[in-house]
Amino acid sequence: MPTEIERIREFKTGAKNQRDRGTKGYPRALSSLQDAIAIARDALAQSTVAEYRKQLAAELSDCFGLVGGIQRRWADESSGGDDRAAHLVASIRAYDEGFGIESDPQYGIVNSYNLVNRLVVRILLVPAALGAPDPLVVAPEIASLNLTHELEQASTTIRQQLVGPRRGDYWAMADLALIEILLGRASAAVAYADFIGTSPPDFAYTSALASLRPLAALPLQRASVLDEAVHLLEGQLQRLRAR
Amino acid sequence: MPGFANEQLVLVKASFTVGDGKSFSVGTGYFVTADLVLTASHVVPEQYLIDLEVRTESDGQWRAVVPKPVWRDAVLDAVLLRVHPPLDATPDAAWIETDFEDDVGWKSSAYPEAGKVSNEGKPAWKTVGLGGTLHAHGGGGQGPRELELTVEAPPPAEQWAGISGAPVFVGDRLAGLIKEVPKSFQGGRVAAAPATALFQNHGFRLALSPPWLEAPSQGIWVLVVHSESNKGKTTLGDWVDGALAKDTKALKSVLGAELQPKAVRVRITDALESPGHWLRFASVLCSAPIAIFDATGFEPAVMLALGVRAVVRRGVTLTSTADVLTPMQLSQLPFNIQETKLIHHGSGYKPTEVEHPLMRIPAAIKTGWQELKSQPNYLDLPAYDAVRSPYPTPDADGHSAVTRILVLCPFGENHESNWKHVANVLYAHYPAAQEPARMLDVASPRLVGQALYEGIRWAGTCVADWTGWRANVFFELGVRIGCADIGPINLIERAAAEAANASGALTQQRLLMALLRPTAYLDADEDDAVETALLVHDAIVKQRPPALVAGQLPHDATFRTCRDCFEWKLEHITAEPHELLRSSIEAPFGKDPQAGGRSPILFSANADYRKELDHSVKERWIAAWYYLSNRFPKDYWSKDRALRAELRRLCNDVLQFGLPAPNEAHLIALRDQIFDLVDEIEEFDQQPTTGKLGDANRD
Repeated sequence: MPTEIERIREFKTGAKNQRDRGTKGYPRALSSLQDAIAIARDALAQSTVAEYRKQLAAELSDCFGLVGGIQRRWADESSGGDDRAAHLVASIRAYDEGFGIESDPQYGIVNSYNLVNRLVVRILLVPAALGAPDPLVVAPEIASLNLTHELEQASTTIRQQLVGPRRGDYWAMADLALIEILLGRASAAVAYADFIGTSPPDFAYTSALASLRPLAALPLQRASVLDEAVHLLEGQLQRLRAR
Repeated sequence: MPGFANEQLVLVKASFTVGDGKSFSVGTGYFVTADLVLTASHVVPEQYLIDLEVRTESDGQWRAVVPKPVWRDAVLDAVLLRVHPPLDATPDAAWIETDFEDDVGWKSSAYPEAGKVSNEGKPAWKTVGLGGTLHAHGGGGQGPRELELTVEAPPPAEQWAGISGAPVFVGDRLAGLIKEVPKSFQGGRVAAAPATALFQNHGFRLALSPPWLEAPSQGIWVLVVHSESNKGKTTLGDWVDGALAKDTKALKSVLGAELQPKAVRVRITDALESPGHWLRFASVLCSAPIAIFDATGFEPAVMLALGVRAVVRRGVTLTSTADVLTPMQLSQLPFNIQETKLIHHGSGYKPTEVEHPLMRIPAAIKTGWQELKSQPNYLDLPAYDAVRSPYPTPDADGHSAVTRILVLCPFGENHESNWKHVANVLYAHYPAAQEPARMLDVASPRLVGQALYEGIRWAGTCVADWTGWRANVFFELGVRIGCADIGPINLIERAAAEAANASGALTQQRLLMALLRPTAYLDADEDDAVETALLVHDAIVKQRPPALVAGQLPHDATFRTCRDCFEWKLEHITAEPHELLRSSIEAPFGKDPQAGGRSPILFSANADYRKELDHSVKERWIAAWYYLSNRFPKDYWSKDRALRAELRRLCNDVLQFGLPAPNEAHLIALRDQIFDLVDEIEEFDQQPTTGKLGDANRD
């Protein structure tokens, strides 16, 4: 009999596979994640054991992050216009919900998955919001954020994580590299030097590229550096996979 | 002394199928306890049995018998049957415990064909009194030892049918049971299985011992082994129960199942009380998912039990002490214990400190359990892997751990003289063998732990010198009796043996001596005790072990009980190929390798190494998929939900971790094929199940 955590992970893995199938698999992926979220929520509501609650909360925030990622990809592959915007708004909602759990001090989760992606998707929705002085308003019930300020905050948070509990964590390094490029603080090679230096597995490259590519296609001031980063990581990934 | 009693004699009738028809066999049996009937194994067929019953001679009543025998040994040709309900006020039989040196008279009563009469066309079996001479020097030669009996006024051999299983009494004691009538003696002689041979059998000992220490049949449970001294106001068992109550939810979430709320407690001296108790204890050492030992004072019997546990379970085993040990004391612990993580169950810490038993015990259980499940090589005691090492290869001189005479003994200066005495007797007795060696005499550069436990398992001759009652020696002795089918030669210097029987000694010392009967020797040239012990060992090796008293444990009984009772499903060697491949990935990388942002593999930041690592992992996932997806025909999938769940889980893991983004055409095709299979499995799941095969029906 699998444990609750094992069941959640099985749903997540199935969802990731359906996600990787493209548009055809997105509905099934979201359905699997809803199942995983239901299990995690029920278990979290029932458990009073701190360490188990932390584990469940981490899985729950990860599930929301996956939902956000699928909606974002769906937006990329949509025909544009309202459809794209609707998926991006759904993505923001999911990442925001994941961020709420990820940053809740009662769970003590140290991560940046939802923290960074909630900002990236907002840029995808309104590219001009990056560098704008005013907070971006998406919808009344969605948090309005000043993206430059939030990216600077996120950079500080991830740097602290990297010298603390996330030392050597390639996910954190990839998140930080992306923020540094968006803030115009580093070239692609400098930003991703630490990430590449850890020789991460290929799925880490794939994931980093999935965030970079749609941003590189936007009319952003840093588009050329983002494009440079895409080429850099694609080259590394190719070398890793070549036999 | 009860002696032969007509009230305990029974006619055994077994009905069975033969082809399309039915038949039956009859034999004689005898109540050796209130509910156990001893008869010959061949009277009760192992297959095609329809019905089994016994008729008590005293009242002519037919009584129901539990169809599955309590114990059976085809070589000895003996079986124990449980009669339910028991026969009230039946005394236990008294047994002959020694080999016969002179011919003696014997007597019995049985139901031979010769005594059968016809009652209105139906057969009726009448008892026939039997008697004659038991020939002390007969029944030897090849095969198992037998009792050779001559019979007064015998009928022809074919008229003896029905006497199989009849008890053989010499005086008031049961000496064996009749198993066969050799045809060449025209019915004048019968062969019997000797009681002394029955007593060499661990299963017989277990079957005869009264119920004690029943392990829970469900859920995860904790065994607590209390030391004899049982120090502290609160015992280890109390602390464990308190910890289980305090942390129930957290333990359940980690263990994935309900944990029995109370630990099963065993006091070590109770486990030594009789061979039956010890063997039941050994079976519980095998089955306990979690065991916690009170190692306070490192008492010899606790160390012996720990040694057995080290052989039979990879984990979870915790060792605890009531004393708070200083770093100096910790550094002086027995070396087998130095490798373990000792916890504390006294009152040496405040309730808020992490070392406090109510904090430490549940934390250790949770961590141990998680690591046991995630790490195939998890160990919390030494020996488990080393005793599973392959058969040792001989060196250029033909020497190996098999031919080495291994001596387990103290290494201190005050034991040097004993060692020389024992070594010299061994050398003289086995002049052609390798020189006797203690571990410190072995030249191998291997880690001592590895070489030691390999040697303990494989050495044909292993001597354990109890003198000094050293904790290390008893741990190693436990390992030997748990993993070797030839028991050790147990020795103890006479003065130490006498001291153990004196007042003030630990009770367990006396009990251990009664159970394992070490040979007491004098460290003097003229003393021949060690030589006598070696002759007994030689007889054991030649499968002619001398008779044992009822209180003595057969040399191989612990090993055979462990063999019967160990949880073989937990041995990784039985894993199916796809599971083995899965665990080879999940053990180092974790069940969700994408979750953590750090590679747990040492030096994986080396780019070339990383490339090969990724490749190897993917190939293993693909291999696992090829195996399982081709192993069973597709019609099994429709019938077996468990198989579908297994396949679906594997498909998803292979897609995500083995083939996340293939760039070669054949791998892209394989990925599509697996996706199709996932879809197909889902379709199967939505259909009503047509049947169920289950694991048992898969070849």
